[in-house]
Amino acid sequence: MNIFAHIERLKDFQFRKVRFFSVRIEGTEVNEFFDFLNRMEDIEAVSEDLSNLLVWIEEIGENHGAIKDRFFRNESITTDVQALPPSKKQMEAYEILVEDLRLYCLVLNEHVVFLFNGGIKTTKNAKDCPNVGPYIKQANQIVVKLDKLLKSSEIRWNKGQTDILFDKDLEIEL
Amino acid sequence: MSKDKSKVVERLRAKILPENRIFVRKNLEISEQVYALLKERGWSQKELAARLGKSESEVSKLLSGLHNLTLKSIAKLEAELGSDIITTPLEACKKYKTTEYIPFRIFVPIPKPDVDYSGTYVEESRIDYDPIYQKIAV
Repeated sequence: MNIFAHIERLKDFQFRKVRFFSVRIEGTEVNEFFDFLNRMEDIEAVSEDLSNLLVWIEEIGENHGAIKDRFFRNESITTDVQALPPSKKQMEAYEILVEDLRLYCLVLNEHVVFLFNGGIKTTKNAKDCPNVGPYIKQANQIVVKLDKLLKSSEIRWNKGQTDILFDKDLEIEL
Repeated sequence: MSKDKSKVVERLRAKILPENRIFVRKNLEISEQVYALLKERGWSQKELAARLGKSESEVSKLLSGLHNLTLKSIAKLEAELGSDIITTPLEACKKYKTTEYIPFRIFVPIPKPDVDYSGTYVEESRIDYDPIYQKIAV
């Protein structure tokens, strides 16, 4: 059975320097980032980390920009697809980490970031972790599809490459 | 009653403590300062990691803006970089009040199309000082 997803602009996360997006899988109540937040919300052990993560997203969004080498950690497993400009580098899934909390994302450039899902990492190798393993796999899967949509111009850059444009009904087949 | 999943951001934002915000902001400022010093010295993150005896991923985590930096790790960074990373307002005040300002003149040639100005220089500007610093200027 084919699974489809849609891109969602995170309207509470549109800052001066970074615009954040997520994807919503058809049939689910909320997008992947919100799903992550909802699942982590009541876990006491990560409540401070979750707060810090939210503030961090707001701070880099407003004041710093999404600088890959500084603020994100490469967590790519299988994605080795060439991306379109501006980076011309590989499209890769990245992780944001606060101690054991992991959030997977895609940094398209300093101004556009996709936030996916994540969880609490329990094993040394994230791939083997029952909590986050499936989300890394999912992030990589989505990254491949987003790359194709960029190449086919179904996702386009605005003039200054500070934002992306796409049809609201655009479907991502996972 | 089940929670409205679409309102999770509002609920979480309401729970953010002021100290969490300050923690992240200061952390990012420290990270920014370290990167500025690395750039100034022409060092890579890898080089800094080697000097600190840490792995590159450890340093990357340290400078992510989310790591709970200890004063000891900041001190190690300062020692290795040979420069302050954080300065208290009191210390900053002392530092700036004892800074010696050396006045100098800048001479810039102003081209005049029909006049031979070779060898002549015209004083174009003179730096003005804040009155508080004039007393201590050399």
